Amino acid sequence: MAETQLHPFDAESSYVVTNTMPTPPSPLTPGSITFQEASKNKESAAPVDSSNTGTTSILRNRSESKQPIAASSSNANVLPQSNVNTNSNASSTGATRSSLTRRISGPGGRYQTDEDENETPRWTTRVSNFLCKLYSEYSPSLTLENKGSIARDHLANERTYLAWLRTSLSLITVGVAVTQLFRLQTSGPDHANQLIRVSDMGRPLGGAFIALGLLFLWLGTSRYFHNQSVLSYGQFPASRGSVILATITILAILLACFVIVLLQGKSA
Amino acid sequence: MAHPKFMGPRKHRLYRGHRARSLNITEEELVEIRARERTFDGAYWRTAMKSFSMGMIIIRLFTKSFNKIGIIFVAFGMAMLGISVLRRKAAGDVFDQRKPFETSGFWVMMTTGVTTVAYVIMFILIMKLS
Repeated sequence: MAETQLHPFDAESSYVVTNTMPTPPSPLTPGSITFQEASKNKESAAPVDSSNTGTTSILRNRSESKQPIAASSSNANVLPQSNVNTNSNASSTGATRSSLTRRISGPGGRYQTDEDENETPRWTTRVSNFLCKLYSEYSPSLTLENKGSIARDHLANERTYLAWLRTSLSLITVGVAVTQLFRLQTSGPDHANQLIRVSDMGRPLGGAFIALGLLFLWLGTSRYFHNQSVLSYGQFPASRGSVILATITILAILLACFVIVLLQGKSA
Repeated sequence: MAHPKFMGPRKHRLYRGHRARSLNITEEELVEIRARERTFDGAYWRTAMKSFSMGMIIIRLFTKSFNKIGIIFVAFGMAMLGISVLRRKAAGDVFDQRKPFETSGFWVMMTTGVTTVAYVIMFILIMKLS
């Protein structure tokens, strides 16, 4: 713990944390794209020792929230999480009653006794404890060691997700606008000898655009979580299937629009 | 000029042992700060503002029957703005890299849930148009 006195980010201190990742002996051959099934068997393949693999050590995973994995062998990273854990467990593990120094209400308050531990806490405390436990159990966020470009990589991942979200939002907008446009031209020549009534095609087309926006949103979300789970292994999944699917669906709906507009021009 | 009640704690906050005015930001920290600005000032706000402007256009320009859809757009933009503010607060510290970094999976799930609800409501509204 003597290392914590020297702040590693002071430029004058003897050692400065170099902001570079250790270059790993990558298991990948340079050109190949591997889609690891990382999200399915995360527990079995979790990287514990990050010094060998060169990947990020996941500090708090979903199933390992009680015991965080010890930090990697780099001595510069002293994690505050371990300190917190030892502090909170001090009363339950080895402390006798005489050595209890926790006061209930600030300085000058009475010490905590056995009665207080057996007493049921207030409902607000219980609710907040429950929410914290729920969050730490089921949150899809990973807690990672902040070194190198890890924070930046995950922020870039988030930006890509937001770009997908904006794409789907503009699809929704187009759908609403198409519905409005087709509703505007209800008055026209009678549609007696016509295969379809063009003014009725607005709602299905708008609905199709909205369904497409929903699909794009979920594509972006799944891409984000796949990327998040794989990035901590030092790999990057190039998205190929989602791009192909997006292209095909967009082409299909544009063709549908084109055909409908052509039919309209023929009937007018 | 903000109220001193709100300026107080921030004025005396220490970054790497310095106050904000006498802090020399290193290159690595600048890179990190830029990445956060791209994400929180760029991407999140752009999404919210796009939704706001679309809601305004729909309410002002389209026919009366589309008013509800415009209101949904505006509400979605406000939700995105709130999520972006909370996400920014939870983003962690640039200056102390000993603190662990928490990825934004939780916020992505929140955003996806909110957006899905908004889209489904819009789908129902459009399909209910006579």
